[in-house]
Amino acid sequence: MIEQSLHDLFYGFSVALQGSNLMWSFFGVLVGNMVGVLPGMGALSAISILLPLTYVMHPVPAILMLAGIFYGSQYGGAIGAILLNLPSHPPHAITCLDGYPMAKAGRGGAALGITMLSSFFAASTGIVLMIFASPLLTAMAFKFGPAEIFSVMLLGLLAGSTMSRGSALKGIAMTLFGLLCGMAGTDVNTGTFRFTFGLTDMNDGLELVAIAMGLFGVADFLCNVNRMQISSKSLDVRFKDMRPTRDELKASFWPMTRGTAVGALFGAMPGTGPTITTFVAYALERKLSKRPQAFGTGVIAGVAAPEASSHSKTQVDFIPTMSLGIPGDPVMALILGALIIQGITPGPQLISEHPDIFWGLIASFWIGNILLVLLNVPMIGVWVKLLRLPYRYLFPSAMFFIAVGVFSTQNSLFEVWQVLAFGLIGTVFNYFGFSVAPILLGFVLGPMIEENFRRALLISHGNMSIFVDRPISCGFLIASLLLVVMVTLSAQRNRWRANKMKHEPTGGSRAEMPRTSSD
Amino acid sequence: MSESGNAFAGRLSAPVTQRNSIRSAIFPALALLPSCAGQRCGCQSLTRQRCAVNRRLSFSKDYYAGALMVVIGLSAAYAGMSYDIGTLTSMGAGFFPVAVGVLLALVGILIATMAKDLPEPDPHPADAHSRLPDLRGAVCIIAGTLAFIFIGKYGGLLPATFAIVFISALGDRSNTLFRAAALSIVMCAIALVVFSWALKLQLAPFAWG
Repeated sequence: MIEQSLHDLFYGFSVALQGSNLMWSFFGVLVGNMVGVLPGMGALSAISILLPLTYVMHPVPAILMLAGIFYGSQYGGAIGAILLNLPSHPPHAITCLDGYPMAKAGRGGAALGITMLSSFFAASTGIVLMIFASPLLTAMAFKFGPAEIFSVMLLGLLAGSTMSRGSALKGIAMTLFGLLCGMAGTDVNTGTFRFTFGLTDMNDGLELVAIAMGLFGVADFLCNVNRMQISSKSLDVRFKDMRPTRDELKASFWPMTRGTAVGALFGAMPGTGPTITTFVAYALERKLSKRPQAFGTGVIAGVAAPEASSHSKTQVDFIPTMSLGIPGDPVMALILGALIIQGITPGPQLISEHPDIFWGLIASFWIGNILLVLLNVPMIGVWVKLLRLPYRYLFPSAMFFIAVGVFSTQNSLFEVWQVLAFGLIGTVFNYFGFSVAPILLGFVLGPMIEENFRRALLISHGNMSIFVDRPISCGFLIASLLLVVMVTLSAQRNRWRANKMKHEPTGGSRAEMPRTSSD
Repeated sequence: MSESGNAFAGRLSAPVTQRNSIRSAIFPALALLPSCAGQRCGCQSLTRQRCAVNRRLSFSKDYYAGALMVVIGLSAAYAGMSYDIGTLTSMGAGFFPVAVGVLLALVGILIATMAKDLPEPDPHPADAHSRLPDLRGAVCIIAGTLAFIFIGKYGGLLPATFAIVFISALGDRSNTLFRAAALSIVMCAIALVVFSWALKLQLAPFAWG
């Protein structure tokens, strides 16, 4: 078993180290890092902008590049979060809590150093887990028929919508809306045009890139324009400042390990968002700490644990995405969409049918993470300079890239209309307090879930009990039910607590947490 | 081992205690900040009065949010009726749209009814997203995109690029005409070199009519 895994891994390295694959992987992490640093831009916008490029690429370099953008933007995002208190990727919001006070106290460099260290450590652990856990999961996944796939996707959708930010009901509403968006276009089974509003351009359905760019690009710009305030005080960081002291290293070792464990556990559960992972890692550290009241004033553990958890989750997240076809978060949904566009169906057969993609991807994680450490540690000065790029230049340029990028997906200006429409829809939903990320999850999973639902009922001749008769499917349905019950209970308890709390005026340290919609 | 054991326990109970543990962990740091709601109603004071104002505000918002979902869900279900619904054994094209539409409408009703109870104060403050966008910025971004579509159709890539960058840039109140024009020219150069020349974008740099 282990021997086989090592052998496959070796093969993966031979794929990932091929000239063009290595180049695209490097390009991906570079772009990801750059975009991650830029205020107001996250992995989602970067991947959406570059997605059209992958249509003409071979699948392996395409996926390596997209994955590179993803984890690259996490490294870059930490820089903005710590130095400017500006998380471009939501999980970094927690890093801000202790990272920014450290930066203000002149220890920003050390915080960044620890961040890079724990990111690399956690990512490596995640990769090792992925190597050994994936074949096991795949062996199980072969037992999956349409009923099982439907149930596990239902669980994924429910988890994705209830565990992201904000009200669970609103998350579910957004997932359902995403499902509706996924239905637009020609129905594959009957050829009926659905929700096309009589437009022939709509017959092929909505464009994934257009939805992503509209919801996470245009809607973000609409909300942030003239609102984004950036003060560039704490921005003096050089290479030599990044070395943490011995005490800081010691203080961050266990938080880093614990954060990694939290991230790995959450990564294995499909549908749990990345933000919740960092929240839990931070909360755990705070609970275990001897001085919990110091958290929020610049404690190194408060930087190490959430960063480690988000990185190990990112890597482990690829397991359900690749082996079950269930994306853990919106970014994964986009990567899944890219795979489907390439004609590759993620699922249990992916590892055996496309070993070059799977093992090449794993090997490239390692290479990419090493590249990122090399990119970030000695060249920190360059990235810090990039942070000073004013928003007033950033968003008009990004609007242009979005328009051209989305045009190139189908060579049609109709896609630009879609971007605009989804930008407005995203703004309205944001205004009403919906978090728009589950739309993407629903959109990508929608067609698959409908297909499998239809197929399962076709097999059982319309008998719904097929979903509970089959043990694996029944297990997932019970898990979904439990999830709903638990979320309801916790909402109830929160309401009760909030009722009690509102009479007690409280005081505490202040921090600012700007939010991006890509949670 | 004890660490991972702890983490495991944390995971198991996460859905139940998730918000609570997070709350207790970061509440002092987060929940009492000048919250998004404070900004929403434009009032800076941190008194209880503010809370009351916000709460009322977010009630009515949730009513509208729920109503919006009901409208979307019902219209989707209505549209779905016009396709063939079929039977469970052989489903038609309309089955899923109707089912999802009805579910969405139900969730919308739930959102609206829950709005009556006390919603917890949003734990994520400084929330630019729950406010209406800045008027000038929004108008310029939308106008810029529209300009890209129409000029792209009748004038080609370069004029369209200039239009979208220039008009959107004017949306930022700190941009001058000169800065916007300079940025647009830079972007036109990128459009020409990267997209037209290197990536062979299927949109001519200039077109007439």
